[in-house]
Amino acid sequence: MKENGYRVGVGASSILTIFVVLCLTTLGVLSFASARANATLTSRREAYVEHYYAAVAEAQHVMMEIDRALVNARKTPDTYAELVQGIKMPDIFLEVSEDLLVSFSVPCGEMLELQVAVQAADSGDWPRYRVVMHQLVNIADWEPDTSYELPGKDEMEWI
Amino acid sequence: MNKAGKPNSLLIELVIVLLFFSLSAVVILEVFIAAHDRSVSSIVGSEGTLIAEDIAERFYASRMDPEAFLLDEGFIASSDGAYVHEIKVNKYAITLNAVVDRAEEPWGVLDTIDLMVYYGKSAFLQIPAARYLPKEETP
Repeated sequence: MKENGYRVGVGASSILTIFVVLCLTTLGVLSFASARANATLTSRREAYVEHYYAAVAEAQHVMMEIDRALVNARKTPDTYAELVQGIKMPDIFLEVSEDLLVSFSVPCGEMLELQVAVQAADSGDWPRYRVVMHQLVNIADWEPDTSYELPGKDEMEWI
Repeated sequence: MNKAGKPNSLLIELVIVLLFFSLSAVVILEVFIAAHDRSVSSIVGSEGTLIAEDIAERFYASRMDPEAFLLDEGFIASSDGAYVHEIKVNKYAITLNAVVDRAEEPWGVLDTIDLMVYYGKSAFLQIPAARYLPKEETP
């Protein structure tokens, strides 16, 4: 009897299975790589946030100590400016300018530091100080990438 | 087997293919599960970090007592003195645990809220939200 219609030959199912397995493997590896990249990014952000808030808490503590020194200095108004300029703290370097701007920095991770500056008010004024700077600054060395040959000024005349 | 007693080659191939596919599926499924787990941890980590940052910034800007602030934010005081708040993020439950520390001096108050963010039983973030409020001197 003559056979009519399409007949699946030997090997077709193997080829189909290999194709499906390859597709699934590719998708699995891609999704894993994507998830791992997201997880790495998240953990870096968590580390940054922890460092930042630890630095802010330290800065608040330093401000409390500065305020204590200001309160003590106000007890003798005649020598107030000299006392403020002589404020020192054991664990942190304070820089006091002649116009009573007290500035300090707190490390925030390896590449950043939190720079804070408070302006001390005159003796008897309230509030005793005002925060004039509270910023994160990158302290890591930056080296420009000179591997690219950028066009010079003369070569860009056509623009 | 066919009528002549020889095994049907198509049937044998199907069995081998099914075996191969099953073994491959087991391995690939593990990769998908690992990807899903990492994806969940990164979603939870990212959202939990945002929530903790939000609470820390609002505490820094507020003038309320830390205890009143935490209760206002939906935290519940627990028996061990800590404050607990559970938040659902995309069907995943994040637990925030806050411990208040207060250093009060005649010239000002330094309030610190130690925020710990948990997913399950493991903490993945701990931040101190500190705020110093100076007091006006009394003559």
